[in-house]
Amino acid sequence: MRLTVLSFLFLPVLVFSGDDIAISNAWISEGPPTARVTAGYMDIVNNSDEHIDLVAAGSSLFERVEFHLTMMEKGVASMQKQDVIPLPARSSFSFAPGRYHLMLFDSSVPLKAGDVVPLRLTFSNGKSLDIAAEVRRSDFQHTHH
Amino acid sequence: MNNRVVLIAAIMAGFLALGAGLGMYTARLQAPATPAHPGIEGLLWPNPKQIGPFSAVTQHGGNFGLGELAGKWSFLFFGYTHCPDICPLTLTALNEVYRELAQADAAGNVQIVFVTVDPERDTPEQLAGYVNYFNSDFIGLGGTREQIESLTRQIGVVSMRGNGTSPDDYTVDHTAAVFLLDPAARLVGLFSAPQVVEDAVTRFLAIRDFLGKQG
Repeated sequence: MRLTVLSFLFLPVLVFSGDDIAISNAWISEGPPTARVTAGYMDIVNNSDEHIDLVAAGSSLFERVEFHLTMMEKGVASMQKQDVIPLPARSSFSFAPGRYHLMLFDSSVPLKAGDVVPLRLTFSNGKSLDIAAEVRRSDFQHTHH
Repeated sequence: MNNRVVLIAAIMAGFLALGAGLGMYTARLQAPATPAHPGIEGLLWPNPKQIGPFSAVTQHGGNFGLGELAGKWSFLFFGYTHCPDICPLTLTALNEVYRELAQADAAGNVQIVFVTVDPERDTPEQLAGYVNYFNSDFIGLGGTREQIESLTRQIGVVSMRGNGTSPDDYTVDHTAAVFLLDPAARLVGLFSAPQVVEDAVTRFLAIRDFLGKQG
């Protein structure tokens, strides 16, 4: 019994779930100390039968949060701001390095790996979801896999 | 009469010159510069571009030019510090490349150079905080826009200021590849994005080995 409780406490993947939407693997790149912007990533599942758009993201620790897509064309990388992230019925979507990312501007406090950042995601059905994203070094994937 | 002779002679001379030119051209086509391309992906060969003089400023405020490329293998990546996704990804990958080369005792004369394409915002102090985060051995290059272009023009790096919500808040589209210069400051390699650490290490070692055999 005690073990069960502990394993819950140390659940490696935090899942935040509303009625329709579930978020997992939310993390924010620690980034260099002089960087004014950093990137955030997560997986989203739309469990409902309705098309839902992710329309906004915000955090009390950042001035603003946008959705961006890194595009590569003829060897040139560019970032395209996305107004919404469409989530078709019964589908999943990933913000992942080198592709879609949350772009977080001007943190109010210096963030270190291990810190937890609150994020509020707002959807087109009027619902919003409060989640927590862990700050990690971007090389964690290499050192921990 | 004389005029006709001169005209015929001129036409014949013209044909001779054309023939000689064609002959040289086909000879070049049929006999490529030796040695042939060894099939290493990313190797720019034959006739790698020789980089000429340029000047830039390091994150420590020092001058960096052609002399600082001499005798070293240089990995060059062009980006900007307000770039949250592809630039940290690439610098993280280059740090892994550097670490693996060091473990193989092959990083002795390797330098990793990050060149900003946004010199207006990326002051030496801004570059220092950014580049040193990944590895304090890395070199960050800034300076005036003219200084940056004295290098980007030679390498063929493209950058364009994109959209922004305020004058201080804009993105910059930029060439995402990593370029490899040999110790003679010749552009000998181009590693397309995204960087795969193992591929970059393998290709670098193969290129170094190949060029070493050319004397």
